[in-house]
Amino acid sequence: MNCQALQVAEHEHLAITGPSGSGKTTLLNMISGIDVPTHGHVTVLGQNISQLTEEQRVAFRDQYVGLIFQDFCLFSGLTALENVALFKPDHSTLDECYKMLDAVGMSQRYDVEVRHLSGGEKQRVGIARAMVKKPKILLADEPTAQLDTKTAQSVMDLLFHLRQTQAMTMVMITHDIRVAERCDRMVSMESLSS
Amino acid sequence: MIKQNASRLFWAFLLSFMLLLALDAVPSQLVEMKSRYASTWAGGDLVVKSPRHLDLDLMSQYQVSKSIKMSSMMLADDTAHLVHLQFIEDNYPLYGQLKSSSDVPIPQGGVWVSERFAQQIGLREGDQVAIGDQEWSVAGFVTKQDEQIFDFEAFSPSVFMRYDDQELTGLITPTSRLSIYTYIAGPEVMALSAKLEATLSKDARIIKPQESLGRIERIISQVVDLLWAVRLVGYLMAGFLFHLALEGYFHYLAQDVGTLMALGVRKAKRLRYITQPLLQVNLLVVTLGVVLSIVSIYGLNQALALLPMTLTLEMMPLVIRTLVTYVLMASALVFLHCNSVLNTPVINLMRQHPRSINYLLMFLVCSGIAIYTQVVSWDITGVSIQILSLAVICLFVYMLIYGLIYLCRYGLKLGGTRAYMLLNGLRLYGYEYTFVVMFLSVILTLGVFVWHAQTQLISSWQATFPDNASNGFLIGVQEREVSGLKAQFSWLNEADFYPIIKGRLIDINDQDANSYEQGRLKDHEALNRQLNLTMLSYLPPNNEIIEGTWPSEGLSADSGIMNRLGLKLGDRLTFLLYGEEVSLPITSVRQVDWRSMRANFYFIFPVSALEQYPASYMASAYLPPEHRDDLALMQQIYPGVTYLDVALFIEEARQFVDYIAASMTGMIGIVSIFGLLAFMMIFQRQHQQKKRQMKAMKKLGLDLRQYPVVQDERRFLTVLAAMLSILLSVLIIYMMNGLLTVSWYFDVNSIFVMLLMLVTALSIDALRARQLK
Repeated sequence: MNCQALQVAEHEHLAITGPSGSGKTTLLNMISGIDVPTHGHVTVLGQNISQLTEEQRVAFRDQYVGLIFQDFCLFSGLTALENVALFKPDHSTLDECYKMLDAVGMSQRYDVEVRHLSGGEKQRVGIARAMVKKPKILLADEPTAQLDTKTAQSVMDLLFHLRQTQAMTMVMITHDIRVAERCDRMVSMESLSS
Repeated sequence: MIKQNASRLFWAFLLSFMLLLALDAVPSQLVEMKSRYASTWAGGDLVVKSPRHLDLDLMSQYQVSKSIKMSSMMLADDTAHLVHLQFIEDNYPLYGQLKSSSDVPIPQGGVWVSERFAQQIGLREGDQVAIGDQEWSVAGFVTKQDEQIFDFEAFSPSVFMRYDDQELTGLITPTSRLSIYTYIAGPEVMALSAKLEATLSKDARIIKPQESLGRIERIISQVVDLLWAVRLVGYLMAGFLFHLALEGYFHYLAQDVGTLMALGVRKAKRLRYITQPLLQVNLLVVTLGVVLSIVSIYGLNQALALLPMTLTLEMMPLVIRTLVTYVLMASALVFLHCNSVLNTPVINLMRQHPRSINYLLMFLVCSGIAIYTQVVSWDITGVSIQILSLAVICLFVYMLIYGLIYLCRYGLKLGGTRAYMLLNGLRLYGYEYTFVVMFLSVILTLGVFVWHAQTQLISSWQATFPDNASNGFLIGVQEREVSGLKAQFSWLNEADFYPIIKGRLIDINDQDANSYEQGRLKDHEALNRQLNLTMLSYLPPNNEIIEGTWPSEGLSADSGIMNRLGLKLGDRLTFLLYGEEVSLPITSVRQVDWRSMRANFYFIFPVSALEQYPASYMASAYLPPEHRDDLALMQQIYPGVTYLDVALFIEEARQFVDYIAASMTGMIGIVSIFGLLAFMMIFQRQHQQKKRQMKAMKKLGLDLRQYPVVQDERRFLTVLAAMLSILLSVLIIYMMNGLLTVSWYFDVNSIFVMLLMLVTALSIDALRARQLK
């Protein structure tokens, strides 16, 4: 992937689009520090994260970044509550996990193991897990890719509703132009690499 | 994920624990039992074996019991049987047990007979048997005798008589081949031992059971050595099982850990997430493993109580040793796996590419654990050499298998769809498959080797006998009886009767024979027993002079014993005969054909050197089956003459080989089962991947009956393992024939045994594979 300069402002909501294999996920991984560039650098919140060690990048994500995956990446043997509680900050209480699950519409499903949940419910738990940390940056990799249209719509509504309640920067990968249009800005991978 | 994998981990770990217990139980206990039961098996704290009675004044402060042991004939129901006769005092044994069906000591004029022998020949209490000059009444049957383990070389059934009755038998003469045992028990016997060493004549042997049990100890060591290779493979197998279970666990865990890392979970918390379930499972395994070990050892001890000698497994040391080995192995492998996952970059974990653990490292870890458990009672140099040898063999086999799989890949490309499917599996899991095939083939080879040793060791030796080989020996013949025997029994007409004088080699070149520096084998049995010495003016058949002059006024020595004791022409040897020292130089070297089954001798004296000593006579002869009844007549006319049946020795030797082979087969069996489990575990791990593959194949419209891909892989690998083990077995047999000058051949039957095992494994596996469809 050859990506030219991309800047995202604080509290901006950015949608990234592009064809398969154009490097959208790689770009998101670079921003989160999951992957590092072979050339150049990535600066997030004023920090050049490319120079950090693997564990420093883990700590950075712990402090500032929330992630939402297209395949949910939940712990299938744990309940919805346990999946969220696993990632709550040390200083917060379990009540906040309940509140977050309530906020994503999972109030009746706290104690259900996630393998028994539907796709939409799983993604709601994924969103709750990302948001419970109150991240400064939320990175979402095609969060509705595995959901049907109706469920995808409700998940997106939830995500944009949370945007109103929590001040944060959001970078989202999506193929859905309608979703992209709800963001502040939309960039395509072609424009980035040209 | 953890819940799903926990039960698999639990079973794999528990099986590893039990395998470690089984591997440790036999060899370590054999060695430990030797020191624990030394006095029990020997019958005292100190035992003196001598050709003459000892002066008991020195032992007045100790408990003392005497016994005389000799071979003789017993006539029961008009049939003569060779027996191991033992005259015992009432207080025999000082330690251990001599249990009989009778509650009272042996009565005057009575005998006790071993229970097994009595059942074989149909003896009942009160029956009369003839031994020596008299008839005796059967007063009881011996069910347990601890000293028989020490007397394992007595290839004939035991008969016990009162010590006072020895004179009445008429068997005790100056020339009788007997040993007098004095058992001593009490505190500070070592001080007494020092005194005895200073005062006893050189032909007496002091046995200190706690220091050495002599030949039985050497045999135990050899059995432990033989088991060593199997044991090492077993340790590797236990480690491999453990490793496979862990790798399966970490394979699924990798993505979780990747998610945790991506979501910013710190190392300590990740480590806790990984290790907590492992700790819980291990705690459960250790608890259950210890309980199962205690139950198994208890059950085994109950079974051992049925043996005719005292033998028990000591519970706590065995359990503790297994526990320590397991904890060490588990900690090392868990550490390696955790380290591997924790140090893999998050991007690789999320793509499910955790850095796989190095198999060579696993081999070294398991070997290290094996070394640890061995050095507790073994020398590190020996273990290191053996581990290195095994590593070299494994490396060779590994390269061979990997090469074969590599070649097969190209060969398969020429095949159709089915071959491509097989190729896919081999390419994806080539590394794991190589290890599985290697373990399977090594263990199968060991099994085939034991099979051959069991079936061919004795028979290949027998095959070397000439057609007219003797099938028996007469011993204890008096000079006056020789002509009578020849005249009365036609099959003795042509037999050569050789004069026998018992003597012990005490000095070589005026130096104590046991500390002679040139000797290759310091503790050679020829130095520890009374030798059959003869005096001849002619050279016996099957003897050839290869060096020196014959006849002469010196000794003629067998080249084999000279080589083993480090002797050369001109060396002066001193023997103790009837308490007198006789010293002569070696003037000729003989090549003796020991396979002739004739009476052969290590040393032949000139007649002039020994004619003043009383001698008995010995002859080898072929007793035709139709003349077997002659033995009863011979026993009646010549009660002091003993006929040693070669067939009896061969049968006993065969039984002995069977015992050793059975213990090895048992160990190999256990290791094989675990090998097959490891084999199946690998396939189990691929279950999900195979399921997806099947789904895709169905979607593509392929008929699964036509392309049984899963079974194809297994069949290919098992056949490869079997072929390789056959190849290795043939190679080993060829090497054995070259090195040991034996004439073994590859027994085709062994393939069926091997195939049976493989077919069983495949059948179980095929049932599992059906679920995929």
